[in-house]
Amino acid sequence: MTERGVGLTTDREVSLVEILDRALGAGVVLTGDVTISLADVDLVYLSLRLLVGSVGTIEDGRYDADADAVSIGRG
Amino acid sequence: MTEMALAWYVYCIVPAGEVPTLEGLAGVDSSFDIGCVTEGELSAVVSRVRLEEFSAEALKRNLEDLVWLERVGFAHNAVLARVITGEAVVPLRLCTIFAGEEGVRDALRRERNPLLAALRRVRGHAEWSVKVLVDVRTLEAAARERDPVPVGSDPQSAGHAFFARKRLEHTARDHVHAEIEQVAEETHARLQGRAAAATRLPPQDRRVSGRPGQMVLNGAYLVEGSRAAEFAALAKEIDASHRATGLALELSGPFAPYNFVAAWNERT
Repeated sequence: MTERGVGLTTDREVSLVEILDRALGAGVVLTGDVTISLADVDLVYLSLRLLVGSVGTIEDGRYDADADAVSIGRG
Repeated sequence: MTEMALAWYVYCIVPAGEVPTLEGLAGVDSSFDIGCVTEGELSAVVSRVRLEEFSAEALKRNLEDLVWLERVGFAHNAVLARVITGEAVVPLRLCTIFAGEEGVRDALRRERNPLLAALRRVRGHAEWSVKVLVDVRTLEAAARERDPVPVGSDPQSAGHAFFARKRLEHTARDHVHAEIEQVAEETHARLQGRAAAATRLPPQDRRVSGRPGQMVLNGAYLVEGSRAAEFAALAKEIDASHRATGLALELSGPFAPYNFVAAWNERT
């Protein structure tokens, strides 16, 4: 079993996707003075799509539902 | 030089008097320290940010900028990772921005009751993530090997044999998928038994999860601190029992209880 960050709380143990899955996908929405539709799930997925698209090693259109997993990596 | 317009970035809410030491932590704008704004029984963990970077207009642009999103996401997470060493925290959504300190105080007054209720609910608990990942193709291949498709049972008709084989392949696939969902459900139910609360999140797309295989369970569990070891042991046990069949569990955490604080607004 893979354990990430168990017993540790170092931020680098957790992937960006894991963070965004929670910090954008959940958490309390306290209406601030600057309001932006972060509750909009589309934004999250748009960001995540960009996340995939930004990885230089992935060629456009090479991935689809059946393609091998691509790693977003962290550099 | 004109003075920079500043705003307040709010990370999370903790009970007043329970703010852990925030020394040495950088905010989402590393030129400012992390501090707190206290109003009555509640403290907001905050840091200052430049409005030109965190205005609504700037955020629309910046949230689509992955370099920016990564920097802010990790900085936000680092603050929460420190705060969860305490007993109770309500994490806020990324990029919760107030123009000034008074705005933060207003929000703490306005949302006092639901925030106190959420803090009571999560006190002494942390969120854990358990994911189940499967290699569907390997499972399907294994299923085909277990129940080989009869070949040439009807030598008179190659067409019949072809369609019979296709039908059996489809049946095998349906069978495998039903099996996978059953394992996901059972895994979730067993883990839920050791948790104060549990929820299934949408599985992460494999293109962004960066993990091999298909995610069939993306579970979030609110686990009491004293039961965390027991919870991890159960996850290990379930993982071991499925290893041979091509399923893998992934345990991560502890996280701030993002999925268990929003009872009065989101995702319940």
